[in-house]
Amino acid sequence: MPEVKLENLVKVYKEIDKNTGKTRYNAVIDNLDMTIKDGEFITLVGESGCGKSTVLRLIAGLDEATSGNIYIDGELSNNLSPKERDIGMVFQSYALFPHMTVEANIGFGLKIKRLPDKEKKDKISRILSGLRLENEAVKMPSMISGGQRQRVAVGRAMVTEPGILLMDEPLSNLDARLRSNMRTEFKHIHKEQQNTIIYVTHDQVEAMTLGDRMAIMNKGIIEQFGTPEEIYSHPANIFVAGFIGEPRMNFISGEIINKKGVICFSSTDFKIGLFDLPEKNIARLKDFNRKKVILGIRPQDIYLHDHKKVSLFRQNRFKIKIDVILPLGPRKIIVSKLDTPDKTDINFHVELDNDIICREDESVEFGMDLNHVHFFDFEDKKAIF
Amino acid sequence: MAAFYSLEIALLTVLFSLITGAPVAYVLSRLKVPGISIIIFFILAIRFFPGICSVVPVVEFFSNPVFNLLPVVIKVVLAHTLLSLPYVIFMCQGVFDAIPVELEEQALILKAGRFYTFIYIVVPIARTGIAAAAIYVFLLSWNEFVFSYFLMFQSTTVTLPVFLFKKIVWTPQLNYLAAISVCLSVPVILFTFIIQKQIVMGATEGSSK
Repeated sequence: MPEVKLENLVKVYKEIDKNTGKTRYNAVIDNLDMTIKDGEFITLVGESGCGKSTVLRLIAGLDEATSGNIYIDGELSNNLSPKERDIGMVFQSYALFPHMTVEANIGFGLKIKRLPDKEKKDKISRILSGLRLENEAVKMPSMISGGQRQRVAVGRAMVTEPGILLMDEPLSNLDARLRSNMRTEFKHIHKEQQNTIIYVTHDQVEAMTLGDRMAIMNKGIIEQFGTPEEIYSHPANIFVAGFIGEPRMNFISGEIINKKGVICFSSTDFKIGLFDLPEKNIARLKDFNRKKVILGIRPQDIYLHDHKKVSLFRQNRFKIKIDVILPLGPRKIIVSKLDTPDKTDINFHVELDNDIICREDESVEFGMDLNHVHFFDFEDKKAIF
Repeated sequence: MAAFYSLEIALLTVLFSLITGAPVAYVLSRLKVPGISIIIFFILAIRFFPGICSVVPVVEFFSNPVFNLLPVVIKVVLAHTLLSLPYVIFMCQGVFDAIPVELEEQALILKAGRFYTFIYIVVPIARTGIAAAAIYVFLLSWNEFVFSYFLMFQSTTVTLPVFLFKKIVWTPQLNYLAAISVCLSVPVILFTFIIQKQIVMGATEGSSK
């Protein structure tokens, strides 16, 4: 199975400004480096327009890169047409051929390969049964359901056994339940075929659950590339920290104050002492004395004071007023208004077990788990730790 | 006799103009080059003049001795093709524009060639639109009088409209003329019915989502 290597990849689109008539150059992908190991399941995640689909199209050879190199299996592939690359692709819209039966759709790639009839039939029927589509074989794409169409698209890409499977938001048109079924299915496929899979999605849950490694993209660059655990527990910057996790991480801007060796974090809403931090983190924070920083804490790492873990939090308590409560079933989310750095999202979220009793418009004292607190430099938004 | 002659010319015109026009329309639809609208303008330009004006260069062209051996049928068919090409290109381009490019990209990834993709993916999906263009071209050729008249001036066999004209000039017998008119209408209705079946079938439904 091949390895994919992207080197200084740049894709620039020329657009004409409708108002001024001037041509503008818009870099969709900006100097991107990435190595995808052979047999790896990679997810590319980011908001729409961040260039993730473009990366896929460049790997497929459907678009030409403005500059930079693409190596597939160690071979420079910049000028190879899609035909000459060992790839399969599933489009977001599935792109099923509407005038062909399910069977013919799946067999299209084999027909081009001019395989003997018997072998072709064998392969098609294996795919059909693998994807539970036996009863749909002679139907037209317009006669089957969305989930089935999606499976046909996957089957069609897989039947030729490509070394690299590219998927462009394949599940975004399905409902939630089918989506989670298909996620399991993808994991199975990867386990069996061991091909390199590059999977584009805007859904962070999908990206985390599926990927061996995931890349977070923003405005044409990769913000962080690593295992889901790495990205969740050690986000490299504010963007990644805010992008991964639901509800999103809380950010509070404030100042670090070093008072006789005791490090404090002080913001307009509260002041906390940072005692329980590991030694090396304290050392790093000392460089930021009297400087602006942003504290990041996930809603799951905040606890109600006076509850179970009370002994953990001595000086890191803070009081906030509950604005609204959103019950989720096993958990509930508490929202309150705070002075957060970007001013646009001033909601502060806390996720608590459902059996904890609290009321709206009540001021409550919370404590945060300092093992899971993150600090970011206010200037360049990069993680301090 | 004239009716069969007309039918032959009309069908050949449909064939010629689709074979030449559809690929042109496809290229115009897929090629992203600035100034493509200018090309489309020039293709349509032949229709900006009254037909009787464009007859002059066409007849002049075909009266060149080089074409002496060319059967008059082919000359008329070529002239009709010239007239119908703008319609074919314009109609087919709209149809091709509506076909998602992703279908072709998918075919390309499945290692199909460009030509194979056009014949086995694009054309079958576009067949309803192409059928509509075919009806239009058929009617255009079947009705066409001016070009046929000038090109078949010395010919013994003529198309139905020209035949009708000649009858009107010499023997204005009403029942006879009515019969010719019926002959003129019937194939049109039949042809439309045959091709309409293609149009009714929803073509692109189910390709995506």
